[in-house]
Amino acid sequence: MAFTEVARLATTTARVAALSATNTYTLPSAPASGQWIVVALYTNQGIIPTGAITGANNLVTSVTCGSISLSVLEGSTNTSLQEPTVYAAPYASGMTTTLSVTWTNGIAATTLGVAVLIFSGASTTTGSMTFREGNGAFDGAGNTTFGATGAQGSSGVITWANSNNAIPTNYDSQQQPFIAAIVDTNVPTSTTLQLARSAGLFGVVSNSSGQLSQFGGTAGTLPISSGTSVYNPAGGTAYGVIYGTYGNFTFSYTGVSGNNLTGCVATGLGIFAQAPSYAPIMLAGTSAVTITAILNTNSPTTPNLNGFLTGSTSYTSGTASANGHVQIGMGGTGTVPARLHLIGGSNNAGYVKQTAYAVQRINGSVLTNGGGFIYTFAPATRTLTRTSTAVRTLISRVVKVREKIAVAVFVRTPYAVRQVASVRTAKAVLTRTSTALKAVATFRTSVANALRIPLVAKTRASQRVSAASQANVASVTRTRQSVRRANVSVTYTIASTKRRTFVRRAVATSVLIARSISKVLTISRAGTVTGDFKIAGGRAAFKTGQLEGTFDTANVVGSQKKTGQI
Amino acid sequence: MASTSNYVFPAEGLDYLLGIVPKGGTAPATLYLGLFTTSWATIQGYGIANTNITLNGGTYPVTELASATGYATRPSLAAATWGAATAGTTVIGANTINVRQSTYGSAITITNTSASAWTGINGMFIATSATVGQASGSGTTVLWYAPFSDGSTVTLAVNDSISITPTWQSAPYPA
Repeated sequence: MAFTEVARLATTTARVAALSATNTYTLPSAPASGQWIVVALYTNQGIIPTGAITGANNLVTSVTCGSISLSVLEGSTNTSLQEPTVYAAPYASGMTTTLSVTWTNGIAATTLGVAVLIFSGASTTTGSMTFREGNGAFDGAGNTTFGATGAQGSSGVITWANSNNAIPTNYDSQQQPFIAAIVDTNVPTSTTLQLARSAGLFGVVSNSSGQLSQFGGTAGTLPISSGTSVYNPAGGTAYGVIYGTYGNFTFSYTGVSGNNLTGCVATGLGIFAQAPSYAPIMLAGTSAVTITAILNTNSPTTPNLNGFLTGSTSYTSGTASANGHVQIGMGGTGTVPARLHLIGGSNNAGYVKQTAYAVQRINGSVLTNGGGFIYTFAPATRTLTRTSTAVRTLISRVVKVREKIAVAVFVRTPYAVRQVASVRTAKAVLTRTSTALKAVATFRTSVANALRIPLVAKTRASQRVSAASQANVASVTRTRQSVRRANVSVTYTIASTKRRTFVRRAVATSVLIARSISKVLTISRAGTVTGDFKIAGGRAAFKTGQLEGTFDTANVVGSQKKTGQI
Repeated sequence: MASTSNYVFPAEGLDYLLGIVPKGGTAPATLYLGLFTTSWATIQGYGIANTNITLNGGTYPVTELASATGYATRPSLAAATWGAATAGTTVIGANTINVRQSTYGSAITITNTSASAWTGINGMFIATSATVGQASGSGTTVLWYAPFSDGSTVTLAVNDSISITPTWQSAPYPA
């Protein structure tokens, strides 16, 4: 839930000339359930809240809302000059529209600033404040002094919380409610507008003719004060912030020509579109319209922070002023002007950390004193978002089983089929002619007949290779474990002189093969079967693969082509 | 050796699932989401024995978040609310595996409405029973445990909520 403003103090209190008194302020509305009330105090002599160390001049003894006493936010017990002290409390029964600040002041007049903000959207539970950024809230500077160097430099721009020291949004990336209390001094006296951006100061610009506004100002040219230092993007794009009538808004410009910013285009239209902004009631002649403390992001066009400013107090000389800024004490009037800002807002969702800047500029001056705190609150509703994933690898075990099946298939079916087929083709086929004997003899002795030689030789070579495929036969043996048969066929189709010798290496058996028959060899022990047969001068050998043994057989089938005479 | 897995299907959960498919048991219409406080490192430290982990007791125990207001019963997960199976990937060991997955259709939100913070919530489990504190074998069967995807340990202050979206993947591993 985002931080939402409910009410702010906008009242006038008369100067109090006393050593001690209770200032009473009337709130626009009483805090209600689910709301917080935050009170920021400031004096230009420092404030010692109740319970803090004593000895300083200004002691705030109590801050109450109705009958309920507010507590100092942890860490906000500052005794230094120009630092705010922040009281806060969630709604409690007994709170009313009456806010009382009781103080003592042992010295001459000083200036007491009081800013009050009532907001909703933060948790009302105790301890809901999750973060305090005290020391170094102004990045690069100390708590109390803005030196001539550091983040402020000579530009008067204060960088607040850089990327390494950002406003944390430490509950996931939800919108983070925050409040910021800032004091700056050297209230400007001119009425010119200030132009600044988060990374530099551009100078003083006059927007009095309304070239730009957050209500639809169009592109145009903005005049700047003569002699001011202005960053020139030289055709690029630079951004500035204008404190307008209805709050801060950003604009871009593309160049500088003489005393004009050119190519200006308003961005972030809308009152609360960009940065915490608010148009405080400025009393005539008492203060200037200027850049006040704002929170801006490192992107001038992306409203990562939203919020508003309240309780901007302005120094007045001995008279009452708006927003609870009043002179207190016995003597004279305060001489150190200062302003107190109390800003509340929420960063946008989706940021684990939020970079923010406090942009402050005093017209023609360098900030010399000031300080601030930022506090983040726990959202009223906080939800962590998580996911969990479990991979059901149960399936993987099933697949592993299937792998085993696949292995079985490998053994049983596909290779067996192929290998059986291979066996079936593993034939020792002899081709000869009716005069094969003569032809082969011729072949052996000489290459007497070129026409015959390739015919016989090629045929035999092919047959031997096929028949002697041990791998094929061996595979048959393995894959046909249940059958254990290996077939080698020799078929004779001619009547001629022939000799067949089958040798099973394992059993050394010779087998006579009658013509035109297939011979089945029964294997009595493991081994390969080799054999050859000679037919009318032709001879073919074969060799089976590894046969398993007793139950294996080798069926030897020979064939001899009946052809004509060579 | 410690397990490196970011989820565990305990033996009881595997048995339960096998009892449905292929053994034809009745699939539950409702499961339940629970939170555990045992650190995931401890569970991983059980090593390969982590499939023997059991809820709220046993040799390899996983301790459930204590019953409290806001977590008096485990939130239910209706079978019909699980999303359609879609393609996804997961990394198992050195392999990126294509998986089928289903994400529960809405985040389950648990809000600490008790009087004190809940600390040390390290993950969630899916069980067959809604009874917080019930142990494995005593009416509860846990199908799986998993830490939160960011590995974080969650503390829920009073009135804080945690919104959890579980995803269930089936991996044909090895692919």
